[in-house]
Amino acid sequence: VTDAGHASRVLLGGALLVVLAGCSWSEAPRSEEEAGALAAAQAYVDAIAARDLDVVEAMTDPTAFEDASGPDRDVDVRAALVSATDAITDPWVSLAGPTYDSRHGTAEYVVETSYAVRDLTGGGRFVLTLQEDASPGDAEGWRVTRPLIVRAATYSELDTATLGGVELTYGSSRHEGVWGYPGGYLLEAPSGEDVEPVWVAVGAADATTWDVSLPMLGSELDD
Amino acid sequence: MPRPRPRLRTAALVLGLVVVVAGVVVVTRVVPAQASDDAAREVVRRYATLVSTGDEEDLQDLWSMWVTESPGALRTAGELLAGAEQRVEVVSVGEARPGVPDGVELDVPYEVELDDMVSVLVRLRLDGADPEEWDEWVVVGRLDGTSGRDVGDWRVVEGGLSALVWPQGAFGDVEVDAYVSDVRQVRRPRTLGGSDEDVQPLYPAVYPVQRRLDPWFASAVGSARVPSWGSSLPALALEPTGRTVDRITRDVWARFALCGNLLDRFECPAADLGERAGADVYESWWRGLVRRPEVEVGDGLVTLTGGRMRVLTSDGPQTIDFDGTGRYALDNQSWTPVIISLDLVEAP
Repeated sequence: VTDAGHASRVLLGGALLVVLAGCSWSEAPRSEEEAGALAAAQAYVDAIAARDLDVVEAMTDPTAFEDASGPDRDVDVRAALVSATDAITDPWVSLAGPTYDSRHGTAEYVVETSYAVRDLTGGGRFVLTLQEDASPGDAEGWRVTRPLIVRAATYSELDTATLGGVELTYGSSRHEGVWGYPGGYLLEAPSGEDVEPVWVAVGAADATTWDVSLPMLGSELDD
Repeated sequence: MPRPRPRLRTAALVLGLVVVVAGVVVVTRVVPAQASDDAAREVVRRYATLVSTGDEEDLQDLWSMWVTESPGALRTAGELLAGAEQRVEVVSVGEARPGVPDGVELDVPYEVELDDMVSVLVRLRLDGADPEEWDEWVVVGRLDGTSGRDVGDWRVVEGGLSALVWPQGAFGDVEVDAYVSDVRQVRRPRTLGGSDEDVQPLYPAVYPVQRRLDPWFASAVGSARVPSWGSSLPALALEPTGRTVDRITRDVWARFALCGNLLDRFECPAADLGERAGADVYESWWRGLVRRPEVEVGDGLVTLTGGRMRVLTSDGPQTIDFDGTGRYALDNQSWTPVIISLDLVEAP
């Protein structure tokens, strides 16, 4: 009896010590795996902020974009990142948690991010997956398997236009949805046409005020 | 020493076994559950403290504590909290309770796997002339695969966010915009499958607010108490902006410039007064303004005072001192302010 009681007291005390040791709030990563994932997440959004498309794409699984156009068949404008007039600034990242799939398999994390584009804010989520045989603490061992895909609506009276150099075509609705990386981009007329470009925020909550018409390329400016 | 009798030894063994099993239960279930509750409660306490301090340096921590469908909007909510006129005081933080209280709706992104939900009742207080104290459920979720014993294992999924409420006009009506600290409260992000319109979430606090019809009208900056159940935008009176005053004043001079032009006589604000003085406004009657009136532009009203004009009547040239009143409104085609009436009277 004495031994059993002693053992249970020892176990209880040990458990309490473990609990107390873990009870300090810290945003710092709590494991090598979290540290690696967080570093990779920061590197990813920093590359977007640097408009470094090569780095962004190199970190990303190319098959991750297959369904990105969505039901509206939005146009892929990822290539426009290098021509963005406004990069995202001060990107924040946070590990929102492991994915369901990672419970019994490869380590995966959902990452939330937010950023500013001029005076607008935006954000989204992406997923990082640890590569086979990679060290979890190594940022380079993580790959973006669900990228940060953000969207915008564009409008043009012209039949064709370019957004950061990517060509868009417009039908009778004069509207085209786009998806790509967050930032501020210029919607411009094809070269040779003297039309005032329109600034478009991709991936930020932009809303025109009541007195401003839709930012439509080629339309008359309001008074 | 005599050896214990077999019956006693068996009893001791059974008792020992019971104690060991109880100890195992305590160590594996009760202690972790208590530790988990303590960690969840600590997260809520920390969260409530950050909402009450609204320190700019802690905004990223506050943002990171959440999982949300709108990380961009939540970031702005933090920035607005930092600029609030007054923030809540945390009166008390209750005990952790498993589950989500009835009536509390969660908006958790589907990608994020959360297991246990734990709710903690937090009592908040907003001071001021009409102080309010209320209870708020803060709900935290345990990240999948974690023990819950570390505060980092938990994320806030409901934390007393609300928003300003203001009337929206019918189709074709002019809608007044609501601003908090110069941030428009409508957000319109484009999401998969089309555009989404949302209202900026706000942490409970007292905020500087303004009504605007940019660029023509704006109210003075007022205050709105925004507890968790939301708050109506105060009925702050809209005043014409400097741009409206300039535009209407220019419109007044433009209308006087039409006087004497036979085809535009109905646009000339002086025509009726001239006609009453004996001028034939279908002939060359206008001799010009001798003294420009003071123009005052108010809420939909234009007032002219101290003007003097010279007209040609059947008795010869006459000088008339005048005042005037008129109205202006937003034209529903151009959405710009235009004068809709302007009448002059002879000054006493």
